[in-house]
Amino acid sequence: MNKEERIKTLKRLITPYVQDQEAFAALNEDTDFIKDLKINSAHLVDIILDVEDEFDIEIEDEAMEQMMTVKAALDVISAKVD
Amino acid sequence: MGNDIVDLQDARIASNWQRPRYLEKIFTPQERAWIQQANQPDMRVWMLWSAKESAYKLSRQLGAERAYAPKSLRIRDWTQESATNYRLQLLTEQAELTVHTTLGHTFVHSVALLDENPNWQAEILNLSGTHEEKRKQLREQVCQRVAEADSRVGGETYRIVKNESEIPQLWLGETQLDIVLSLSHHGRYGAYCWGRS
Repeated sequence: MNKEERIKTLKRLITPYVQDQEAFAALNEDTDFIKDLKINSAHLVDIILDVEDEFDIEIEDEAMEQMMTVKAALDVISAKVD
Repeated sequence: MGNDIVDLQDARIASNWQRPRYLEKIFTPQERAWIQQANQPDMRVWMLWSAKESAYKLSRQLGAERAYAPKSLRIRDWTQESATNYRLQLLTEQAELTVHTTLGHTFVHSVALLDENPNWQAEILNLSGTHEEKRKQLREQVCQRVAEADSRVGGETYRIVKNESEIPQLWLGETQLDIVLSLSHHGRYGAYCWGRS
């Protein structure tokens, strides 16, 4: 799966939790889940679990700490899968 | 000061804390034991979560880096002070904090404090409209309340500006006020707390 496909998958996973549709439409690597998409912090756990299930990986606490942007999420996935 | 509101109706619909691994990601073994022992585990989950969130906001004001590390904010102990009020002791990497949590029928609200400062105020509001409209309603209410409590007179307006660390600060005209402030919204509710620093 290349980066664009991963971003597409990520977009699908975060759709249910997004509160700012305008920022979602403009999503890029720098998009911040909380600051830009206004995702509730309790839903960040859901996203992390969804990413684990989707990519069949386990995200440790240290990796989870930084998972607040699209780029950070892609880095975590890439470090586990590639 | 930090504060956090949980709309229980929204939380029940949107958050499934019973899904596998959910609790393990955000709570320490001790915190999970408290959830298991609770008569209403659901209320206990949101009580502990909201306490952590309010403590996170306070720790950011104290200079902590931005991070999603709910387990690093450890709840050391808690006591029930009345039918609806709880007091929790939290350990962060920098400090020991006290959190006052209120369990309502439809919400959970927490206020985190560094010292037992009696001079703070908090309020829970019903908000409506879009996310942006709710955000505006909450801010207008805060400015109005602070203006009422502030003895200064003059035509200048109060406004809330977030600094580079995303921490809200109160300004009157070109002057930043010595007021610490925390904002929170979730579902139908908005909440804030403020006090003199």
